[in-house]
Amino acid sequence: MNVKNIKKLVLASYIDKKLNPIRVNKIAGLLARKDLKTYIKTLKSYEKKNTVIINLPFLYNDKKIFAKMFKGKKIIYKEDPSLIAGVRIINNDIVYEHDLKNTLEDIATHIGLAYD
Amino acid sequence: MIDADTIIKQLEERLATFQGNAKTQNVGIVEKNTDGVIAASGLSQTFMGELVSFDKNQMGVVLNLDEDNVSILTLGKSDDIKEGDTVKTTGKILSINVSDDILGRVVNPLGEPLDGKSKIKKGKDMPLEKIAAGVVDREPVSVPLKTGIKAIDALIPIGRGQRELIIGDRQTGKTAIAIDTIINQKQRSKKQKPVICVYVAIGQKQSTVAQVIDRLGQDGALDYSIIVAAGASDSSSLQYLAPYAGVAIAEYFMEKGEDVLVVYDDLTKHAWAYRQISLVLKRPAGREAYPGDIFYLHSRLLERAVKLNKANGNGSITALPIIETQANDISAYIPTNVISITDGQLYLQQDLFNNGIRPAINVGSSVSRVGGAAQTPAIKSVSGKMKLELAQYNELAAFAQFGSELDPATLAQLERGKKTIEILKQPQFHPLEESLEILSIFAVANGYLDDIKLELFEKFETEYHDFVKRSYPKIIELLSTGQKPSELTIKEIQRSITDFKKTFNA
Repeated sequence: MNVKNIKKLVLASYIDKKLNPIRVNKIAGLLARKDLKTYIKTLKSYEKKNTVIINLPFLYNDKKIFAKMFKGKKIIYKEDPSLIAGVRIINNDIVYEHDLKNTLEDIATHIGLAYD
Repeated sequence: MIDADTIIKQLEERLATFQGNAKTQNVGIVEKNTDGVIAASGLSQTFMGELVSFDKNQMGVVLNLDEDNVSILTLGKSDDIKEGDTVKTTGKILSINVSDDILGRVVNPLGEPLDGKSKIKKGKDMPLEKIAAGVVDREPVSVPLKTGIKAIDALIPIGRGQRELIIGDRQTGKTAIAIDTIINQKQRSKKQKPVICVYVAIGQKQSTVAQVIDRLGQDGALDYSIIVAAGASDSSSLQYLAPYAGVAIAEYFMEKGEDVLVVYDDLTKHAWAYRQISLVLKRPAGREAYPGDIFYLHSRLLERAVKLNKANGNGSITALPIIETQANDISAYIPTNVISITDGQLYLQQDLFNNGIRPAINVGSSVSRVGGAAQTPAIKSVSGKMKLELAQYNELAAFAQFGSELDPATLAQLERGKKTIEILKQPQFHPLEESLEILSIFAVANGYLDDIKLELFEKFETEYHDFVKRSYPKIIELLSTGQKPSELTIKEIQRSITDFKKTFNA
């Protein structure tokens, strides 16, 4: 089975944007070992595409702002005290980072590149 | 030197721009590492040729963009890049740091010093890949690039901004011509515009590169030269990038209005390195297993050799690519490609080399398409006659092989031809000033050497040059101007030869 067909199977594994265990088990039972491997990999990458991880220095209750920003995506909040006055958002393969540590690192890189 | 206040001010400005500016990074995961070529998933925002960084500070360049993954060419060691490692985009394209400090240095294609000296001072970041200057920015080749080799300067002249291929089998003196040309660029007077030289060693033995460095050092040529080395033991990615790094360095100086000479030694090995990379990248293989874009690989490199017009600083880049052939086969894939890209070629032959004709240039098969326009009137006035004589000699020599009786006129022509070939011989690492080249060519073309035995030519030439420098310095001075010699100067040259012949002790 080619990758295109496996991608179709991955899309078929979802009902209302939620992974359906019955469908997944049925598809998995019909696939050969090699195809199953590709199916799992594609499923993982699809899940990753639809999940946003938000790291905050402390977890606060008002999370509406992020839900608005990433409509239709699953949002996972994580606490990371090392992010001083900042936030790190991981949206699939794009990472948005804004914190004091990063700013200082940027200054250090700039000095390293601009001066001997 | 920037003072502390300026640095602090710049940093404050920088800090102001940081505020509210989130850092965005595109992150991918390493899937495969095959011979320094990494396949990574993610990196959906990356672009072709973008510089990416791995976990342990290794760098790479994006070479293939596929539907689900990208292929990255690593720069330097890649053994410890494992499956699952993260890879981040940098938003930059591959470039090399160039400043005036790079003169006299030996660097790798990433600009890291290989000569054990300090880091190259911060200058300008020059991109390795760049679109060559367009037609509007250029002007025709008009200034000669003197090689100091009689056969080249007289018969196959090279101009600043030209691309002249040096082609031949192994051990025929290809590198020697390039090195002689570099040595000859030494600034002899303040009037003369210096030429900065970049020697790019691709896939060569470290010992060979060391010999070149040593030779350039001995002749004081390192002061105005830069050596970019990617040796045989370096990764194919570094070998692939080496000529682009060389031309990027050359562009830095060209933008400052300087004339630059770049030697690519050699592009055959460069093509091999690119073939290896392409096969690992699983690009479709074509003739001789080279990828489809092998022509573009060299054409985009050699197009960057240019003579800029006055509005753009009037700088130039002259390229001397070298190609190694197998058994004199210039119709192979890579040689024909590069022949068609360049503005002429110097064809070196093994049998000429073995017969003691060195430099072993086959004058009949070598051409210079634009160099003639750049030749000075002085050398043009003497070399025109010699070209004709050599052509006649080659034709007659073919007939004379039949052994039939020849009339005295034909015999004289054959004799003159032999002497012309003899005078074009030149020892390695002894480039000559143009004025001395003119004197030698004038002497043979006008029959002043007809009574000198062939085996005494070298001695005659050396002693005659010394004699003129000593007793007729005015001739050297007049010929150095590049102007066509006047009747008076010609008479003076004739007198110098007659005078010298009286004293020449055969």
